[in-house]
Amino acid sequence: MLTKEDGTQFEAYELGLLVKETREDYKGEADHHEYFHFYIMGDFFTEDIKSHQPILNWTLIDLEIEQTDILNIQGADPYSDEIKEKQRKYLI
Amino acid sequence: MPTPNKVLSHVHYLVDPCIVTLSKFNWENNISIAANRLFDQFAIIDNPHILGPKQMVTYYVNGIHFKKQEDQLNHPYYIKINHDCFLQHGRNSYVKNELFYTLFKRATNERQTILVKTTDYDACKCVSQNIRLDNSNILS
Repeated sequence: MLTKEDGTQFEAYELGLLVKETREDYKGEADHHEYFHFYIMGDFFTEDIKSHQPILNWTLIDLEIEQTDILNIQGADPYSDEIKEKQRKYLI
Repeated sequence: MPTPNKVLSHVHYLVDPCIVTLSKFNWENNISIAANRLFDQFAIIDNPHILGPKQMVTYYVNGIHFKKQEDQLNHPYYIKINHDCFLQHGRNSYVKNELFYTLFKRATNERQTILVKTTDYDACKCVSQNIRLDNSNILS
């Protein structure tokens, strides 16, 4: 449950999670970055905006978060044992 | 899961709430999502298991290029498919930065892969003008 600015609560639905890999500066296994894209949908609009949007009155948020941020480790080797342990714990 | 330190970007897109509200208990199984290689476009497929008069197989395309300005939300492109068909996300190893979907026809057991091309992003006046469906690349 999330809360809007006017205090009303609503439910949010996660439609999917995709992983984006960037390898533009690829030199080795540790030289690419992974980004998590969360697609979250819900009734984020307030009532005055929804009165002008009769059909498409929900919004979907594309949240882009880097893997090192979501695992709360900054500047670490993504192939280290510590990261792999957290991946197994949180993501699998 | 720990709270992430920073969210790189978050963008709002308009969606139809019917894809969740009309199938309150099956929306996790009905909805699938895919993105192109650069993640500036994404596609949502809604394949309802129980089709009613308000529920149809739907394909949504939305992305950053559908936004005209920072404070304006544009309508997504979507198509509705007949009840005897269902959709699946597709991929192509040659054209990587485009969206594909495969149309399966239950009655004739045919399948058709369709490429969704979104060109002329800057001239974004109407969504239907920016997207053209190319039916020429039928795989089988």
